[in-house]
Amino acid sequence: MKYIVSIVSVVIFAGGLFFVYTYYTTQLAVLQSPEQALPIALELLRYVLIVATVAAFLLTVVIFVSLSTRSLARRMAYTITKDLSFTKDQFRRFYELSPVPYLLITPQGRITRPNKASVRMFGLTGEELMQKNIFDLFTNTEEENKLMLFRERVARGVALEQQEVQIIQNNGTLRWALLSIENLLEKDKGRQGLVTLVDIHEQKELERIKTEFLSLASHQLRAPLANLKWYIDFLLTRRVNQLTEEVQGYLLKMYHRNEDMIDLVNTLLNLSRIEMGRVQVQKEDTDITNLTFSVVEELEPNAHDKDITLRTEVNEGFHFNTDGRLVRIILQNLLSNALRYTENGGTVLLRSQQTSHGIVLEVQDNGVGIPPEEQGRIFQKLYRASNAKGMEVNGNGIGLYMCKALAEAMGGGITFSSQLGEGTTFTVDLPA
Amino acid sequence: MEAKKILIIDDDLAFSEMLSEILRDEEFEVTVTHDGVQGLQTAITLQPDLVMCDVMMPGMTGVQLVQKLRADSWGATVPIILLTNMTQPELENEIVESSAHTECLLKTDWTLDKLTEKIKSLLA
Repeated sequence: MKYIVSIVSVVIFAGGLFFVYTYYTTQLAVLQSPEQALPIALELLRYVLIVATVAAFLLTVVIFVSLSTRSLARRMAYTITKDLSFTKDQFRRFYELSPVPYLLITPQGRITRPNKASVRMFGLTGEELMQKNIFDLFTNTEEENKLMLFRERVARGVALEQQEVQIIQNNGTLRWALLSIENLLEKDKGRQGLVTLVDIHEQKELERIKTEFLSLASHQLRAPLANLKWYIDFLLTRRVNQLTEEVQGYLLKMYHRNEDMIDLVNTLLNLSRIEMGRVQVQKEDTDITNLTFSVVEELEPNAHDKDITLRTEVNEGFHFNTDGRLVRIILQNLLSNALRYTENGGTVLLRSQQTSHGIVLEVQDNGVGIPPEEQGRIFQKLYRASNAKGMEVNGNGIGLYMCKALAEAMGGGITFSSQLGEGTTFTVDLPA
Repeated sequence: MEAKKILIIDDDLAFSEMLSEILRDEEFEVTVTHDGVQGLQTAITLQPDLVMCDVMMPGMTGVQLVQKLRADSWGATVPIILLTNMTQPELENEIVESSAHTECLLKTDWTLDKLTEKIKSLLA
């Protein structure tokens, strides 16, 4: 722009001078007397001055604009550089002082830049860390294959996300951490990996303690119940024929109460597993026909006691990929509920069907039903319908809560339809 | 036909006594020991046809015993019933490596009749 303005001003100046010069030489040529030359010369001078002023003005403008643009650019560049260096400094401080351990590594895993938190975590100095390969700082006793895989992935430039590893601290102790490795591309340095380690040692410890407590509690609670069960079983079934009918009756009652207790312990343990989020779904080929019949067989005595007809509808040799252990718990609960809340002489039906997307299990009874106003709450923990509480039957308000949690853990769901005084049908949907 | 030999390893004296009595009634030859270390030695010298073993025992747990037995040339294939009061998830991590020929039964799930049938089927 400034060049155009400069050229224009030079052209105006030169053009103006040329015009004035030709105009007045023509005038001077036709001059009559020498006295007439002075006013023409003065006029010539005036026009020269005007043209010179205009040109000078234009040039001044050009110079001014040019100078101020240059200084503005210089000023802006200065500010940006300053800001950038501020951000860079801030970023460096953030990296260095972050409570999260960060390390920069080469694609081969050699540590190039550990931050303070990583120095603390490993218990080595920064210089010591920089002589190590990150993968040598993880334990490889049980996870050698896993570490090899990580090494290969990082070398190929594939990111790692939140992998559980155990790091080896300088004093030899092991500590659980979540390892992530992101790729960073830097102009001069090529590809680098940004390693993030999140300390999850406390969580893992708590998890371990809870698991230990659970297995201890499960053992300690079940041990005496198992012994009692087998002693009573022994008295009732083996060689002790001289028992009176009365004694046998009491023994049978003891046996059943003990079974209730075993059920309760199992329910509580399942419940605590659910609440701790430790329900492990292990799908495998399951013989649903066998499973259905075995649950029915288990509960047949309860049906028999109340003269309830227990029917089963399931195809022969029906196999399905699911967690049989969890399906069994669901069926046991639904079926024993149905038997509990159905009057003597009623009917309970267990139906297992394959659908296009999975499997449907149905437990139908013609029992007392669920009051409409309470139907929204029956899957809540410890909730028992008012008519169920009125009946003198065992119930802890955990069964349906557990069925729902287990069905959902398997990716399925549970629904029901119920008419007060007519009966209830529970439907469990499980995906393949 | 020679009677099949069963070794019971359980630190609960009364319980293991009752179990052995039931199995003797079924014409098995039963030996009982009450701790893991002694159980392992007895198993290797006696070479029974089946080992029934508790899990929580002083000296050596049932799981350790199974692992040691599996390392022995004779014990590698002997059927072992682990009688336990723990459900599978608590046990399975430890037991997974020695799972062949090993049955893990939750005591509260089994009656004496069912258990006897199970033993007979394993020895058939």
